[in-house]
Amino acid sequence: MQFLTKIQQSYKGLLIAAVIGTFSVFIAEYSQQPILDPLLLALVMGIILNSVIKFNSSYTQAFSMAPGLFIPIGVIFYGAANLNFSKIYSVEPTNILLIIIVAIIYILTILILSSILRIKDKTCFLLVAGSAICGASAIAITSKSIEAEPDDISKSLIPIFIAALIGLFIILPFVNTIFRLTNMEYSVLSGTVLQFTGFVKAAVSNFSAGIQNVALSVKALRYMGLLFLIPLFSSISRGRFYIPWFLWAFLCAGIVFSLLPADITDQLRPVFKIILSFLWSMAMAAIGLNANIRSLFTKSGLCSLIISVLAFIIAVSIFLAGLLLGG
Amino acid sequence: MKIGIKLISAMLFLVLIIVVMGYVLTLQVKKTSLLLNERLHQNISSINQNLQLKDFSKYFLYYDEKLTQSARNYIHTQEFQWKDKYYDAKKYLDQHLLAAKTQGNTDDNLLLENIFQINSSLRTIEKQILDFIDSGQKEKALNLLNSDNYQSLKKSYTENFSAFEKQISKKLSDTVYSYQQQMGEHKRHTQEVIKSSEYTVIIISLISLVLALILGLFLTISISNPIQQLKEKTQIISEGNFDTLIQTRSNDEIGELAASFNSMTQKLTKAINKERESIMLEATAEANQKKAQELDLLNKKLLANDKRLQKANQDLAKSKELLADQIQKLEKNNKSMMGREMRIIELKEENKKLREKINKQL
Repeated sequence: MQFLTKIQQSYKGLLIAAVIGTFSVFIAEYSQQPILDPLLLALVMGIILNSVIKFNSSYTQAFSMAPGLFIPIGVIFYGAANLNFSKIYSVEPTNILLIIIVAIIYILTILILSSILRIKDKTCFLLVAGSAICGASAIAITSKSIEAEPDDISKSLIPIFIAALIGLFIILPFVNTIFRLTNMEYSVLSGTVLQFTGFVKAAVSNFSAGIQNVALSVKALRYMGLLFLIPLFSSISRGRFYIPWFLWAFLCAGIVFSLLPADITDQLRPVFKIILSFLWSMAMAAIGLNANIRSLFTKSGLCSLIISVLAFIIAVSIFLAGLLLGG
Repeated sequence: MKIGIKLISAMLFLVLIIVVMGYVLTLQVKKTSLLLNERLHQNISSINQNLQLKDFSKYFLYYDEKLTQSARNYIHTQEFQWKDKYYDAKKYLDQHLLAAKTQGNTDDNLLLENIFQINSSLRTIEKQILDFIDSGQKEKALNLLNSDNYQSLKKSYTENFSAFEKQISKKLSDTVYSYQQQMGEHKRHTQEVIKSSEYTVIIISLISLVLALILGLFLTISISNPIQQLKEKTQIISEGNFDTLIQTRSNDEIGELAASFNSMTQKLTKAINKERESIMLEATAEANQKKAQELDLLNKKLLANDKRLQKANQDLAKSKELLADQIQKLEKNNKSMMGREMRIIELKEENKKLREKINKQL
């Protein structure tokens, strides 16, 4: 009852978030540009709207409530759509080990650089999840589990997006020119280091379907990192051992959809991905509507960008070192 | 960095070393297995090829004999079934010869070319024999079959076939020998890989051990040193010395604790100084009050004295007036009564007494 009353009181704010979220999903879907992430679009639109319009407390309350409402539900769909344990077998064992090495390097680099540049713990955790696992989606789940502030989310997601753009259009083509990687090596590299799934798709869009599938399988393996990072970060931020309930839901959905026959999952997964995009875009819009645009132009916002770019460069270097070692 | 994050980073670092070790070992195993697969594939395909050639060579001899025999039988029986059998056998022999040519290498094909040529010559003669029979010239056919040319060709065919068979057998045994050699070499290589993997495990384990010790030491120092310092400073404070600060550069919980501790001691020092000041102020106020009371008392005494003095002054003034009257009277009397000197002396004495009295009163 109390929950329904809350919804009734804040329906206007939720409606604004829903409109922005839906709009960003439509833009992303109809533009057919894989690098346009609907979650990021929703966040940016929310931030812009918040800097233009001054919302009163009833709206801001609704904006605070929306992520808590949409993210956990989205997590279940996220597990069903993306957590595919059978993908482990489609990636070579040596590549799995290389992916783990790169992910650990990502985590350590961000933790150490955040400590040196004195970044807030919660922003640092979001930078780790967004860079080492899966951009906006990982940030959405982690933000809920560590109860991050809207400013922490905007200060981590936007720098990671910029770092991913630099990575996709400058660093990876440069590396490819220097090292003359094969299509397969380039696709594994993209799947291992690029932060957003859309960016991985864009990086391997010119290759054959088989090679694209390898890149996406590598990327899918990285989603499993959330099973380790979320309990870790939520426990550290709470000072006690803690596993959020939605992580279990994420795991269960992943297991069920890994075991179900492929013809069923192949039909359901695209639908779940759309539902997930809607839910999380609404949550991100609400976060943006509560975030302060000025926080992005602070010293910590700049430091987050430096950390994201440096971590990406180091991750690429480690991958290449592993590749050279493997001959 | 928070202590928890420091510990997790240290753990991740150690996990990273283990995963790197796993990666290096997997790469070594993968390389060895790829090499083995490649060598196995090469040798097995070479053995299969030679075995097949050996099989073909058996057919060459068999069909050649069958052809000669069919031709001979056709001469003697003139039954068409032998002619048919002859052509069937010829067809199979040609097929096997062609197949052998595609399977064989350059050396094999050199010998096969000879066999081909001899075979072709033999078959031409046999064709003539069959034609002679068909035209009823049995004698000619028999002569041709027993001719030196045909027999020498047959001998040459058998010799070439033997050479070919020998070559195949040699190749087969060479391949098997090479295979054995390669397997021996591969066994040594595998043993080397195993040995190097063992050394890799030992080296990486030692590196991990050293790094774990360094990390552990670093963490212990970064965690226990500030705690030890905190303990010592607490003891100093417990002895009443509040002007003590903890010097720490760490920004973890212990750093925060040290900062809180420093802030606490500073506040404590301020509070104590304030308390001291208030106590001193109180004491001063008390002393001042006491002094004021004393002053008040003195003032009152002075006022009383003043009043008494005023009264005495008034009395003195009255006495002065009285004295002046007396003096006037005395002067009057002196003027009027010169003889009353004695009386004046008496009056003077009285006057003297009165003065003394006044002085006493003052």
